[in-house]
Amino acid sequence: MIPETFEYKRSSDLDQTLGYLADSSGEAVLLAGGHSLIPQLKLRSHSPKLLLDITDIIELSGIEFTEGSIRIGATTRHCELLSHAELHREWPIFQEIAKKIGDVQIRNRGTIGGSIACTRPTNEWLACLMVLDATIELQSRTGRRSVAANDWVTNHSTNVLRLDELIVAVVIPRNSTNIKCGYAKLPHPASGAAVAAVVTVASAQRGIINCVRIAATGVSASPFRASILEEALSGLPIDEIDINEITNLLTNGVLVLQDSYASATYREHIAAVQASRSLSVCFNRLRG
Amino acid sequence: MKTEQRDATTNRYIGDSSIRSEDPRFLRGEGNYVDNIKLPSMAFSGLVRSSHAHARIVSIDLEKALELPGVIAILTASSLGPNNALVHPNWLVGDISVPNHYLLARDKVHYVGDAIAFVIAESREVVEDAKALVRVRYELLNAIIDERTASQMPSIHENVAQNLAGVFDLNNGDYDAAKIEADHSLQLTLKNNRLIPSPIEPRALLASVETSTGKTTLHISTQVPHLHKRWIAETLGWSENKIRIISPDIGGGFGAKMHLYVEDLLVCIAAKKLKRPIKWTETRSESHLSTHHGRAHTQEIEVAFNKDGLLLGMSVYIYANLGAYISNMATGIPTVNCLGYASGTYNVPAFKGHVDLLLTNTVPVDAYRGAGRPEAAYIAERVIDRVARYLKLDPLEVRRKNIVQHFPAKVGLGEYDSGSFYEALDSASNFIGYKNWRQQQAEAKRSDRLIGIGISSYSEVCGVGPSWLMPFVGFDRGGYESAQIRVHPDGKVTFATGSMPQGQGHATSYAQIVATELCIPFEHVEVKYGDTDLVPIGIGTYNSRSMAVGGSAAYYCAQKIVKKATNIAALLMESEPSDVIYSEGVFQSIVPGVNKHITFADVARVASRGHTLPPGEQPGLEETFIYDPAGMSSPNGCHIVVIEVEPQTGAVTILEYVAVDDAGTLINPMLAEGQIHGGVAQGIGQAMLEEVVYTDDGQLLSSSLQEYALPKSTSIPWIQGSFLSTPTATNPLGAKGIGEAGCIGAPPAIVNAVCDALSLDHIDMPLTPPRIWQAIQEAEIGGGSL
Amino acid sequence: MNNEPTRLDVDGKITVLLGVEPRKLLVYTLRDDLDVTSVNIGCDTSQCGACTVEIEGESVKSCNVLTVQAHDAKISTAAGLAIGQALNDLQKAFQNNHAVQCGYCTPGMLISAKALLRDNDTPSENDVREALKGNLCRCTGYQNIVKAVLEAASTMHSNTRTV
Repeated sequence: MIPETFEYKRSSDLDQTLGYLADSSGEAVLLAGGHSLIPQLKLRSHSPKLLLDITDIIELSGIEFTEGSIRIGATTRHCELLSHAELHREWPIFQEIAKKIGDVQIRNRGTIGGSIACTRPTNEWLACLMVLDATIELQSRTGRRSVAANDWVTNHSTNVLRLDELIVAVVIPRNSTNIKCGYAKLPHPASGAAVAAVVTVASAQRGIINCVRIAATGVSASPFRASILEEALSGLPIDEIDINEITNLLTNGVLVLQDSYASATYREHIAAVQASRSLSVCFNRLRG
Repeated sequence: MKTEQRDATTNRYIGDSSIRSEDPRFLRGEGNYVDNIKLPSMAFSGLVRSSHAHARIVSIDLEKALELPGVIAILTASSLGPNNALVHPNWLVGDISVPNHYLLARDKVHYVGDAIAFVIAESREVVEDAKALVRVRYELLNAIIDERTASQMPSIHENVAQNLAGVFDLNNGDYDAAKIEADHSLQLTLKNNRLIPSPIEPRALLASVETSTGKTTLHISTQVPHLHKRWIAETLGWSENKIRIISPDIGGGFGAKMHLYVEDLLVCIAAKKLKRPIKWTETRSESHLSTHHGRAHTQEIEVAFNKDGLLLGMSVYIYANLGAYISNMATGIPTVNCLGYASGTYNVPAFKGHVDLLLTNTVPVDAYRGAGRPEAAYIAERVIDRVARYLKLDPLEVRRKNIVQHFPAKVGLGEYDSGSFYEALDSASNFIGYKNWRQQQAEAKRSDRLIGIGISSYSEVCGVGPSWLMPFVGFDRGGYESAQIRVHPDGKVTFATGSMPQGQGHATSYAQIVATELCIPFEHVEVKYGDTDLVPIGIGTYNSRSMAVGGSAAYYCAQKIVKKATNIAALLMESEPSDVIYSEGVFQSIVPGVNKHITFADVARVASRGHTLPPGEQPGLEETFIYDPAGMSSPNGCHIVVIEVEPQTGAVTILEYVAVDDAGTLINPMLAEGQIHGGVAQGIGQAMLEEVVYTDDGQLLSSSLQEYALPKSTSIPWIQGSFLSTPTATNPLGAKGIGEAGCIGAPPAIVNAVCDALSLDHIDMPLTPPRIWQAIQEAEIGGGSL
Repeated sequence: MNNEPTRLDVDGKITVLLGVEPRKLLVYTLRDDLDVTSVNIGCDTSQCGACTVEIEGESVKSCNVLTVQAHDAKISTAAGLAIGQALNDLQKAFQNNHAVQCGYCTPGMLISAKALLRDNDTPSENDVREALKGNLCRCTGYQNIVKAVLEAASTMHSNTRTV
């Protein structure tokens, strides 16, 4: 459980880092909290030639509020997302998700950018960003681009991040229309990763749902938006929804994972249960 | 088997919840575990292990690995040649076909993790790099995983026909007649899930050889230093006086660190060959493949009983999965330790038992905390609950009806010497408010809440001995323990024991016994263990034996010291020894008119000078006592748990857990309670979380702590406990064992509670939410309603 | 090979290491090179927390940090908790409540408990259990550790009030 050898460079200069990345012809990997990467290095399932430590790059850290959006730097750690009162006033979901990630020590190191960069099937932050219609800002030596969180995953476990790019930040909208959220997660007893977790955001007008977005993680090869369930819910009066019934739509058309802990049948069921719980929390908040 | 009992009116420190004297060291981060130790010119080592469960080795290519700078040597079966010794088990019950277990695999590998090549290099990093460069080519063979079908498959080892290493039968009375006579009979199949013991310190070794003397010193995280010394000498044909075992602090053992492993021998061979100290430290994920697993039984049971719940007979057939080789105590656990106690705490007039000891392509299975007794209690407690459920009787009442109340009581190959089986049922049910919970359960059911109450009554027999009896059950060791007391000239004491703590707090509990018996302050006793050059002889710590056996050795050793000191004091006070009384550290003459007294320290000083001694007495105040137990003792207890199942998810929440335990005289109740907490937590782990999972081709899916779920701080409830006290007459302290009780009592209590909540006949461990949910679905489909 | 010196401040003792291999995990540097053996290794997948140390005042599993990442950082370990010969309140509470059995998880537990008590001087039982979730103990069933942390919290709380 010792990584193979690699080179290590640490720079506080974004451009310099992007230069190293571009010059490495795909042999370099970025290192921030290291809580996704270092376990892979120890297992030797990933053996890059060069690690570029981006912790010191100031542009990549911090949470900024502008008129229309909130910008969360890629190296913002889970613990910061857990304790950021200003962020929670608009989006308490960040606190609720962060609280259930790993344990204290892991939250003190792991970053939001790192967890998005390696798109695991159990990724909570990506599910969160998907329902918030976030954009992910990427930069390479040749320029910047933004990708919608909902377009992040290509072909299941791979994502649009190029080998010469880094994640600069994720940008979420301000919560100006009083959107409410809900979150529920069943963790694996050993790893703590989601066996199933569901994030919901919704708004309502006079008791009628006018916008609802739901994403599930841990359930399939990558986090996904439950579009069939969303469609079924929108336009319904909150108080007339049979939540336990309707959430059976969550995994419609989705290939559900199975492993030695949970069968596909159980996971499908429990995902619907998490969806019900996530929706209940969200709807209760909508009711005020 | 009664022995002289100590006078409990002079308890002083015995029975005190003294805080541990070893703690400050650990709390300062000064624990001294094997991997902390560094020696000059030390090299590191690691094993290339089989990645297949069953395969012929076609070739091993070391070339690339040997070219790597920093690689010192790589040992394989062929380079070891005649040194590729066979590892032998130490407990063979009956006529056992023992397969060849070489240090390094010769032509075949038998499980994922089987040792193939031993890499020695200058650093931990180079060891890992070199391991990755060793190329092994295999020719794959079919793997056998499941113990139930193993005997119908082709033999894994040439000399073990049908993969059946041996069988064991135990019959008392006529079960078949009992079955005919009985009103009812029921069958039950139980899986006792395979577990990974998981001490938080993985195994670690550091071997060095002193060139001038040829003496090998092995630092090893072991529960049994003296046995390890003997085993290494025997296996390698080395002189035992040229081997020293040092066990510094041990970061947990739970049975996993009491076997002879190939790594123990390989580091010694390499150190001698390379003339350098060799360190080997297991990684956690590696330990899942290289440290022996526990439990792993399938048990088929039939019980015959009358309509009032009275048991008439039991038939038990155990398929015991021993893994790929026969480990140290492997054959004794499913047989003597499990089948022998499968009737639990109940009177079972007719018993028919059989064990198949089966080899499979899995990690060898051996003792893990409880070692057979948890598997046995699980049988008895599931059976009694099943009977109660069948007859729609209260499980507490069915237990009362059948429980053993007269002692000694014959069980299996031995007996329960004494106990409070019935009282423990009462005590635990009163403690938890059993009747009240039954009412609450009924009320909850009306609002569709599923509450379950599970009872578990257990006993075990521990402190194995006497030694003369042990060969009759196939043990190649004794059941004694040693104590040595050295009184320094200032009256301070160094006490040495052959037992070996792994967290039990021996530095404190032994000091309590010795200080009590010598009537000196607790602080004046320093406790030593874990060095075979310091402790003359010993067995070690397992089988909940340290206080009962080692503690008795300490007691008798102290008596010898007091006797000699009394003789010296008598001479100094010009009195007869019979006229000298000793209390509170002072010898006093009771001869009328002789108003003399002398302190323990003064006697020690006189003894060390040797100037004035009674005729025939040797100078010094130092004694050794090796205590061989007259018999084994039977701690017992009753655990009751109340749980709630969330039907939607299958999640179980423990609402209340009560443990009432009786281990006779407790030397230190606080430490005993700590043993209960830890044992119960491991029992809850078995019942709710832990399970080793193999694929059909023998790959271990539970390959790290990401998959294998150990209990976390958030998974264990508050455990409420109390103690009963039925001292045993088999040793002078009246102490029984406590170390394994918790993990024996907990699993059936929890499974019984879940079956109670869901009205299920049975559900196999671990009771994970997916498994419970599945059971609920099946019950509903089957037409049952919850 | 890394040619930059790596400067570590461990419990106030500063060491400058030359030629640290970038792949070297902090826990091995602490244990093997700096002799800080209170930091234990119990797993290889960041589950057990036996290697927990504080880096810049935050608890971290040192088996999941490269030594070079900790350059210039202030690291605190359980070995730095005691005040001279005297155990601190947390350590005393561990001893008084029999929260130590084999001792292997203890240094990591102490660091996690310390981190909790810094942020929350009146934790509930549940707060303590949540805070220790990243530290596995196989001996104690956690109960006496939880008890100890709760007792330390109340001692430290009343000490602060009296001051």
